[in-house]
Amino acid sequence: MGPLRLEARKKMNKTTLVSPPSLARAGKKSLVVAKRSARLDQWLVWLASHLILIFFTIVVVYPVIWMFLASFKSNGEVVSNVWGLPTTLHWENYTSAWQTAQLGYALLNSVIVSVGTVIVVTALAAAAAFAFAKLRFRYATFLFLIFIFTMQAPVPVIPLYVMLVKLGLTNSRLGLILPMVAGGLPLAIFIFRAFFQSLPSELLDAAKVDGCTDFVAFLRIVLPISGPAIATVTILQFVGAWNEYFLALILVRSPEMRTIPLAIQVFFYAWGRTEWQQVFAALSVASLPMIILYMIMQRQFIQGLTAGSVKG
Amino acid sequence: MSTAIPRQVRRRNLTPYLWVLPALLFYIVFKLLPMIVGLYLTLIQWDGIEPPKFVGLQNFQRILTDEVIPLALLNNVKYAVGTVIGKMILALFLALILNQALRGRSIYRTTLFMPVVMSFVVVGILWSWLYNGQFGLLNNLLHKLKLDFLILDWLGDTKVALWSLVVVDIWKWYGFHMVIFLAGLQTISQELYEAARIDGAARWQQFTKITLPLLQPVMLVNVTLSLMGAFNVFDIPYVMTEGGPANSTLVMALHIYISGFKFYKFGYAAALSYVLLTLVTVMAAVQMRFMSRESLS
Amino acid sequence: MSTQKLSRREFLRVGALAGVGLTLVACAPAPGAAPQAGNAPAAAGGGNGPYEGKFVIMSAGNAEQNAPLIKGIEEAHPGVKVEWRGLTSERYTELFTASEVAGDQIDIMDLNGQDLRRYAVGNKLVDLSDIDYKDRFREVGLQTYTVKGKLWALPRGGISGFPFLYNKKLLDQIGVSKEPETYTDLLQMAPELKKIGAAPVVHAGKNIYLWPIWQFFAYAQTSKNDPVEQTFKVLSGQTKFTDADHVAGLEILGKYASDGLFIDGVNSLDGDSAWIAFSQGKAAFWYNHSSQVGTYRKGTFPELDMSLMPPLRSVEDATVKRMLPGGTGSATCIYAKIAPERLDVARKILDLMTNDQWVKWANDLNKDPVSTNKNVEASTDELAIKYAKECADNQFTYLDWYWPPEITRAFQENQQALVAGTKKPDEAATSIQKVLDDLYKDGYKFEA
Repeated sequence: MGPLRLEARKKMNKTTLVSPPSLARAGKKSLVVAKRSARLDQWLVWLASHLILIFFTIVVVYPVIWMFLASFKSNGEVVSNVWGLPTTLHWENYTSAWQTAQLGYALLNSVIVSVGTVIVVTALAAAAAFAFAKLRFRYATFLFLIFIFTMQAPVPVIPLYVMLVKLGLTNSRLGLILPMVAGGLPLAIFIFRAFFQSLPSELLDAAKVDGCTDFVAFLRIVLPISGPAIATVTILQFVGAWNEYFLALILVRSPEMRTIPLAIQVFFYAWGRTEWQQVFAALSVASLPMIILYMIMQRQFIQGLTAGSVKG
Repeated sequence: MSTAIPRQVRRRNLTPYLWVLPALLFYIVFKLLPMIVGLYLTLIQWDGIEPPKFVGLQNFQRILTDEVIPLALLNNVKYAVGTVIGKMILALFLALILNQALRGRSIYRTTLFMPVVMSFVVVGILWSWLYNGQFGLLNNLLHKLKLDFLILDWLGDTKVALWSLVVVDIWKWYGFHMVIFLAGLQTISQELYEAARIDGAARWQQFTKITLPLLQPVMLVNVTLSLMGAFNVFDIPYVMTEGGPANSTLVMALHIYISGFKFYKFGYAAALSYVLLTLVTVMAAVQMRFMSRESLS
Repeated sequence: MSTQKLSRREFLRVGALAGVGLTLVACAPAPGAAPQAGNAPAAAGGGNGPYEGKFVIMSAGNAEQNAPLIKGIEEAHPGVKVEWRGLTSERYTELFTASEVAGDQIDIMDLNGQDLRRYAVGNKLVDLSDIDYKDRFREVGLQTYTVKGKLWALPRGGISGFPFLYNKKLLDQIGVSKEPETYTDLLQMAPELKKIGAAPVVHAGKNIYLWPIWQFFAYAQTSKNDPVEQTFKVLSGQTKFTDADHVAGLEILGKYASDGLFIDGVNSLDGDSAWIAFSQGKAAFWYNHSSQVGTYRKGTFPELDMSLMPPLRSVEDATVKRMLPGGTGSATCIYAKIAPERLDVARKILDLMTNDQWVKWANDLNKDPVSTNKNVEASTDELAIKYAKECADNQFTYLDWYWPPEITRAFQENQQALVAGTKKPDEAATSIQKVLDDLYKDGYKFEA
C-alpha cells in the first residue's frame, strides 16, 4: 500500500483530476466552509473510488494469478500450501498436462477453427454488407432484416446436430466452422454495414468514373480503409470461436479433433485424477494465448466486443 | 446512397444479389434450415438408431407432464434474477466510478474486462476449485478471516449451489456490461449535469433524473443480453455441477442436452429446444417493449 | 462492365452452382457416408489376405494407459493401425451413439459392464456364443455377459467390486484395533473420529454412478441378500421401488446422512476430491472401487494406511450377509455392423485381448483381486488377497447393469436429495418409480 498512499498525497494536491459534482451543495453555505467540505468530499470520493476499484481488480485478477502459481506447485502443495508461492517450479506439470490432455492438437484445432471462422465470416459479411450499404436492389431491406431478426435466436441444438450428422460433418473442423460462421454472420454484417454507410458515396462514384467495377472498387478502395470495422469483426468472432464449447461437445468425438475448451474439460473429467496441479497447468496453457493477445490489443478487444451491443 | 449508375438503366440488375448470396446461403443452410427442419423432429420419436416413429404432438404433451421442467424453469428464473440484477448493479456502479477523471482508469477497465475473453470451461473449472468445500480458496480465506460461520459447501449444498454459479457468471461478465454502461455514460453531455448543479440538484438526484433516464437505451441492451444469456445458460452448470446436487442447478439447456445426448430422446429434446426458443424470444420481446415504453414515459 | 449486369437466367445458374459447390464442400470430409447405413466399407484389403488399415476400439479406458496393449495388438497384426478411442465410462453411451448415428467406423467395443445389456438387447453386438476358447474364462464372467441365452461379450480384466476402504491409521489413533462390522460400531467411533478432525465416511456423491452403488450394498441387506432377483421383479413390473425393502435401503442412506457420518459437502465430491480427503486422513472410511488399491500403491501417502472390508452391516438382522456389488472386468465385444472384411481380424484381436498374457497385464495394472481368466493368478497384493478372501464370495452384479440409464440417474438425483435432507426416503422412492413408469409408457420392456 506504500506507493498507493504516495499517489494519494499527490492526488490531493491536484484535486482537479476529480470532477467535483459535490460543489453543487456549496450554494447555501459560506464560501470557506463550502470549499473545505468540498475538498474533503472530493478526497473521500477519490479514496472510495480507488478502494472499490482495487477491490474488484483483485477479485478478478487474483484467481487467475493463483491458477498460474498453482500450476507450478507439487501435488501435495496445491492442497497444503494454498496461499504461498510454489517452493520449487514444477515445470513437469506442464509437460505431462501437455501430453495427457493432448494440448498440442487442441491448440492447433482451436487456431484452425477460430482463424477459419474469422476469415470466412469477415469475407462473406463484408461483401454482403457492402451490397446492403452501397448497392441498390429490390429486396435489400428484406434480406437484411432476415439476418437481423433471427440474429439472437439460438439454433435448436438437436436439429442442427442431426443435420450435421446427415451431412457427414461430425468430428471434423469444417463441421465446427460452418455453423459458427452462420452464427457470426448477422452481427458482422450489421457492423460492416454501419461502417460502410458512413463512407462517403463520392469515393465510389469517383472510382466508377475511372471505370472500376464495384468489385474492384470494393477491393481497392473500400477494404483498405475499413480497418476498424475489420478489427472489430475479427476480434468479436475470434473470441467467440476460441471459447466455443457446446458445438465441440456434441460434434467432436476423437481426441485429435478436440478444441481447447473440450480438451480441457475432458482432461478435467477423465485424467485430472488427483493431479490438480496438472489441471491448473492445462488451464494456464488454455487461457494464456488469449490473455496475452488481450493484453496486447486490449483497446481493440474492448471496442470490438462491445461494438455490436452499443450500436444495437 | 445515390450510387450513380452511368449509362445503365436500373433494370433487373441482379449483381447485388451475388454479393449477398454467399452469406445468405451459409445462413440459410446452417441456421435457418436447422430451425425449420427441426420442427419435423419434434413430431417423431427417435433414438438416433432405430427408424423414427411419427408420434404427432406427443412430445409436446410429454413436456406438460415432465416433472423436471418446472424445476428447471424455476432454476432459470432464479439464475436470471441473480445474474441480471447482480450484473446491472455492479456494472453500473463501477461504470459510474470509472466515468470520473480518475488516474489509472484505463488499467482498471482493462483488468475488469479480462474474464470476458476467458473460456467458460476454464472459468468453470477454476471456480470449482475455488469453491471446493474441503480445500478451496474461498473457504480457506473465510477461515483465515475468522468468518467460519460463512463456510459453506458452495457447490454441494442444494440451497447454495445455484447461487454459487450465479456469482461465477457475474464474475465473468460484469466487466463487459460495465464497458457498455461506460460507453453510454460518455454520451451524456456534461452540460446537463452543470445545469442540474446550478439548479441545486444533489448527486443522487442527478443520478435518478439525468443519468438513469439517459442510460435507458444502454440499459435495455444490457438487460436483454444478460436475460437471454441466463435462459440459454449451459456451459457453467454443465462444467461445474452437471445439474446437481439433486437437480438444484438443472437448467433448461442442460435438461435438453441430457434428454437428447444421454437418453437419446432426440424428438423430445427437439421439442424442448423449440419451447425454450419460443419462451426466450417472447420474453425478450416483452421485456424490450416494456422497457422502451418505460423510457418514453 | 458486363459483370455489372446479369440476366436472371445467369443469376440462377450461378446461384445453383454455388449451392452445389457448398454442398460438395460440406460433404467433403465423409465422401459417400450414408449415416443410417453405418457400415460404409472403406475400400481396403479386398478378398484375400489379412486386413490392413485402421481398426477402431471404443473403450471406456484411456489410450495412454492401454498403450502396451495397443502395441501388442499392432505387433501381432502387422498393417493394422489401432485407433483407441478412450470415451470414459461417463460419456461412453453418449459418444458411442453419436459415432453410430454418424456412421463412423467402429470395430471392437470395450465397455463398462453396465452398458452391455443395452447394446445386447438393442442388437448392437455380434453373437460370440461360438468361440472355442470359453474354457479360459471363469464361469461367472461368461454368465454375466450372457443375455437372452447368448454370449455377447468376453470378460476382460479382474473380478472386483466396491468394498469399504478404510484408513487404519485413523482407527489406531482413536484406539480401535478391531475392524468394525456394523453400523452401530461405526456410530460409536464417530465422535472420536470427529475429535481428531476426521469425518467418519467420505463418498464421491457427485459422480452419477456412485450413490446408486451405495444403494446396491444397502439393498442387498434389506432384500435379505437377494438384490438381483428382487430387482428383476421391479423391472418387470411385479413389484415396485416404493415397496418396503427398497425404501428400507434408502433409509439406510438417510440414516448415515442424518447421523452426520458423511464428510461435509459429500454431494459435491467427485472421485478425485474424495480421494484427496481420504488419502489426507480427513475421513476414516471411503466407499469406493477396489482398483483404488492400485492408485494407493503407486504413490506415497503418509497420512494413509489403507485397508478394505465388506460393507458394514447396516440392518438389525445379524444373519444378513455383508454383500457387495461388483463386476467382472470390462465387457469386450464386437460391433454388430462391423465391415465384413474386418470381422475376422476383430475376432482375432478379441482373442488376443482376453488371453492369459494380456489379462494378467490388465490385472496387474489395477491390482485386481481375482482374474476373469481361470489360469491367471491375480494380483498378489495383500489387499487384493484380503478382498479375494473376505469379499469375493459375497459379490453380486451391479444392479445398474440390468436397468436403463434413466433409472441410475433417478437414483442419483433422489439420493442426493435424501442426503441433503430435502426428500424423505419414501418420497425419493416415489420419484424413482415414476421414472420407471414413464419408461414403460415409452415402450421399455425388461428382458431377463
